[in-house]
Amino acid sequence: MLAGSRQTVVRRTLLVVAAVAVLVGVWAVISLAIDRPVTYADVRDHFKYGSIGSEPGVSLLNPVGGILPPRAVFTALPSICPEKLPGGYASLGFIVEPGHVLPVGVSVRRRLGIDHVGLNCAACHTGTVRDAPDAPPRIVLGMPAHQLDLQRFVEFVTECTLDARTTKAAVLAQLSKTGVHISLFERMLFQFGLIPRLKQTVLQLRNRIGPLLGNEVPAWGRGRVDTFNPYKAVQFNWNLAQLPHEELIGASDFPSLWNQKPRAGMHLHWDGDNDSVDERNLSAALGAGVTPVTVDHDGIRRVREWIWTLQPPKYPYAIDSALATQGADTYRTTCLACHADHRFRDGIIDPGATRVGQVVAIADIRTDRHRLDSYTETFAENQYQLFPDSPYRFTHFRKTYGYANHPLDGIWLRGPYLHNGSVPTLADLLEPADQRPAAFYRGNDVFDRERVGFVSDVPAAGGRTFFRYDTAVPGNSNQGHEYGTTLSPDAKRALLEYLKTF
Amino acid sequence: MAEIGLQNGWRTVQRRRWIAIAVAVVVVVGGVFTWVEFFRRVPPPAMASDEENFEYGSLGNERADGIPYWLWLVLPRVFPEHLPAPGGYAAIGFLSQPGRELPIGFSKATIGYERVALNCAGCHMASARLQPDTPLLITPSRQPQTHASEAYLRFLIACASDPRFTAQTLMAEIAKNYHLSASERLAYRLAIIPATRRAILRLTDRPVLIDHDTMKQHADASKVTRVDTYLHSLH
Repeated sequence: MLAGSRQTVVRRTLLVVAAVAVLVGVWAVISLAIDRPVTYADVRDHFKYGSIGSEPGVSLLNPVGGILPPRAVFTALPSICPEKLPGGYASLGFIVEPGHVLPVGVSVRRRLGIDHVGLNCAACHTGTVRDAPDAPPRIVLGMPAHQLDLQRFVEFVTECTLDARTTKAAVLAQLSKTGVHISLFERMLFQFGLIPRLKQTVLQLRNRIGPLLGNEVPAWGRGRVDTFNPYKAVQFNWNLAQLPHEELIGASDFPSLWNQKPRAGMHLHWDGDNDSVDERNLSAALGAGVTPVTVDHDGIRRVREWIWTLQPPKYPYAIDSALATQGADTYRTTCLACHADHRFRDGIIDPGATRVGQVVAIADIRTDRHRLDSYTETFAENQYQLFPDSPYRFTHFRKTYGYANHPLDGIWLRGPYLHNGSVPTLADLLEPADQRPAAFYRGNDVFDRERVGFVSDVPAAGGRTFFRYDTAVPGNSNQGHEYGTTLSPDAKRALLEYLKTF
Repeated sequence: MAEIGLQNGWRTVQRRRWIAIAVAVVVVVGGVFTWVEFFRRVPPPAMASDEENFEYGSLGNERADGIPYWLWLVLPRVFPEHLPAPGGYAAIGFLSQPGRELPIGFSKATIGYERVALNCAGCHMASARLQPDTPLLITPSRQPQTHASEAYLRFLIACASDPRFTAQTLMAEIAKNYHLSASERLAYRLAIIPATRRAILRLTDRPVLIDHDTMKQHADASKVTRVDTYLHSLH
């Protein structure tokens, strides 16, 4: 009787233990299987904060894709390494809207039981503009993120993640301060080695892109990115140190995202290496941390539909319309064939714009050739193996031998000018190359109505240090594109006025 | 008693029948799995022209000489140090045409799984750049112009000799590019990766030279004839 009841107790206990184990197992499996982005009803919010799939995925032990650490770590880093980033992510040019913990351009997605963060299109394609130094900034979606120092950002995130101070305890201690909530499952992952695993992944990433982060290549500075060199290392595991040093100098300006519909079929990217909008979009997504297996095609498609006909904001200051009309005549004879006219903002391409979206040979355009040379035939051959066995496989990339003529919609917000952002204002661009500023500051969002562009002679303001751009540094040359530089001062003034209407 | 004995006998018969059915199911399922994963031959896509056939067409040697496609794709990314320079297969001299997934000289065919093999164009192509900052011109050539094929074999041998040539390492890299199905993962992990490694290492027993006779032995005679005829039609 006694033995029987003891047996029953043992049996019942075993049953309860087994049931708990099964429940925990089911809980873990469900937690790991969930792949759910934070979604937004308004497409503008989706653009700013929605996911394109750039968060890590596939496997906890061998995570695929992603550049950023989990949200809990990402939000804690500025407090853990304050001396590396006084002023937080905003000081690097990220835009933090009131009431938001994460900046514009950073999405959240639960994958593998973790609330991950990733970069999206808005990180590099949203900027701010101010009427005067004391005016509030206006956020413009789709404009180049001319204020963002992406290179320093990646450098900070990798270095601080690897810092000895970044521990489980330090990250969890920050949660209450940042107001970030994590699930019980994620908390358990922190207990069971999430941070050491993360450091290993970040170390692998840094080993690959290391030569682009330190001082081995000229600084990208605010508003610029080296599009293809990180991709060579991250996607294909090329040892960058073995490439010719010149090839690693590829920094160029972020472009605007407006009006993609009339751009279909044009040669896109600065060197015109791709004529498919969709493929170009997907390629840019790879740069944000997407991979062929973690990509969120629906998230990208939603952005694509929106930027298809998105117009740039109109020039908000006074325009002398009589002067602009005069300028239009000069423009027609000097610029229109390559750049189309002011009606491009409405999707209209003037029939005379026969060379818009075409590539001009480097010998003719004579701007800095580093960006052109950073894209090689060998690289294109490797790109054809991206998105293998899928309808998304890359087929449109081509090595070119010059730079593409781009439409100028919203050109007032697209400074500094030329592909490498080597000329601060449109007025400077209309001067012969040797009379353009030899050095200036990038990243200030105060608008210069006189010269059309951003204020470029102030080294620091409002807690931000601007980037001193030296045109003597390799990759930074301001030579070439000397069209319109021999016009009379009056004709130049009129042309400048007309360009404000774009 | 007799009744019980009869019942026992009946149970034994029944049990044996179930075992037989189970064995049959396992054999059939295993057979179908093996056939689908390793032997099913899918006709390769037709080539538009003799030139395209020369550059990308199958010689029928994928079965004997082919490298499983997913391994072929990731080997340069897992073992870049075994290539003379960064650049994947282009770094050992293979040429590519715009938009083509495989460099000239590689064919792809499905025999159970997708396999990639060399064809004649791997060597019999010439290239020239007439002026700087202009595209490379590529043309078929009767005389072999590159040693890419031999460099390719050397690369494969270096990879297979590397202790990191394991299912774990290679599957992790494949997972960055494609979601293999559970059965494909099983086939790759248990059979395809170890078998490929052994097959490549067998190459080390002989000199690494492209030997036309061996190549023709593994290939389909009619396909070789088509390519031969094409090469001889060139000026």
